[in-house]
Amino acid sequence: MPAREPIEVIHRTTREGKVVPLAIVWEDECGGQRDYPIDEILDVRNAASTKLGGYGVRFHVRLRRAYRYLYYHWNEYKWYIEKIE
Amino acid sequence: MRCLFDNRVIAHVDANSYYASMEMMDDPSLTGKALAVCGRVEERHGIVLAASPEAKWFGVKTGQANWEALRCCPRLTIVPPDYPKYIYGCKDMRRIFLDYTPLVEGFGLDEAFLDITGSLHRFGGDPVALVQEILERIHFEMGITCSAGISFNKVFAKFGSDLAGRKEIIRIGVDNYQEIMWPRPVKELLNVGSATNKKLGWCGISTVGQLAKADPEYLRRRLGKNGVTLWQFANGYDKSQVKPIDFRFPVKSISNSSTMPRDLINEEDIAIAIDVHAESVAARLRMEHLKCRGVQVGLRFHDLMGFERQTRMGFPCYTARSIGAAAKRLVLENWRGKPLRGICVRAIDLVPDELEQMCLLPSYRLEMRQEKLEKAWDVLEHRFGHGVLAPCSHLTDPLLSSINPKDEHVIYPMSYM
Repeated sequence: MPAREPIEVIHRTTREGKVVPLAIVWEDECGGQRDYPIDEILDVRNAASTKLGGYGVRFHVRLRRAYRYLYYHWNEYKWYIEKIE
Repeated sequence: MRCLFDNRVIAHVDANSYYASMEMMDDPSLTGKALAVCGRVEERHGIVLAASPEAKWFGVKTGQANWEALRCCPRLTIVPPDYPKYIYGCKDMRRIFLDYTPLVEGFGLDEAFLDITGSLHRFGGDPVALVQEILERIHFEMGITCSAGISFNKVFAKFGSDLAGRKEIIRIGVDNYQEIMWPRPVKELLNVGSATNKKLGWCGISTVGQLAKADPEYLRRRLGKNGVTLWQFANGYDKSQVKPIDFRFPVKSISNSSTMPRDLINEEDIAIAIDVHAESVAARLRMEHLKCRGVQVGLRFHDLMGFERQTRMGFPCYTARSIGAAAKRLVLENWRGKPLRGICVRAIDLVPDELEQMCLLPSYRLEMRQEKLEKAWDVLEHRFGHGVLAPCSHLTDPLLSSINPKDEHVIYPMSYM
């Protein structure tokens, strides 16, 4: 089984059925949960992830000054995050 | 003698070692390793289903037993197959094809024929550019590599993609098909298996070119109808259309076969195995509203040799009891006591269930009662799942009766004919 970890995401589903991620929910050091809002979505496309494995919808997102790939794997209904190098 | 059909452009796209690529795509830590997707030894399905290019380099081949593969490559990584994943990937691949043409005919899970004649104008009439884009999209969006063949008929397109290496595209056109195809050995042609290859060898035919130049009347005498078809294939006279994606092939027969969890050694074992398969075949017949007028059984022994026998029914039927009884009769007439490894029950000569000739035989009335009973059984299975009802005889051997052919059956590529 692949060793990738799904993450928690708050998302909005539009009337047309489009899914738009709004924020990533992360656990901080104290065990509490914190939302990190997604400030900008630069790009959306179907793509395979070479680092995590699997494929799905890839959102190129900006959280403050950090750029990340956010994957939505529609066959598992799960979200994954990947660093861009 | 070329014709109107030669203006078509048909592509055949084939994923390279599909099961293995899907596993590598899903788990990148496997990338670059010698990987083989193999059936489970405990269920006695232990053969290589797909091998990665690295494993193939060591001599691992599809269809080898697991131990043979491990002898070729002792550090082989073996993973069990995950059919839902492969079926899912297949759907996603077809979704990409559908962006280019509605004429997509699946050929097994990982292969498809595409008629791209109508979409060529978007690519300036260059089929290679179009197929290149499809392959790149599959690679980018799904992380698996494909090879493709482009030609003016399906047989040549398939030939091209078999010839092509990873991510390669081979175009076989009217202008160059003789150079590419004719020097190749005839066994690479679609529908030429080992038996046909041997027969063609006796006729002195070993390459596609020799087959194409042979006299079709001579081939008909030596190989029957199939000989003429192969001659047409070799000359590129295949005119079969690429079926649209939602096309359903008419059902010609319904069958279930399994490799049993243990060998069948006596009549009771065979009776249970046949019952389990007949139940599944009958339930699927009722689902399709078809009745069978004949039953065929296939037996496979431990040395993987086997034979098939068939019989006709007195009247069309779709009950497990009649199909099972006919199958059991057939097996017991032909079985000589050699342990059986696998068994296949097939309903043939199908007719729609509403067009039925009434019959005055007493067995027909019994059959009608049995139909009502089994339809009620269908409803129960639908509501409460498989195994909610079972004949008493199944309790004598829980191992043999545990298999569920109806839900576990996998669809194999339709025959090309």
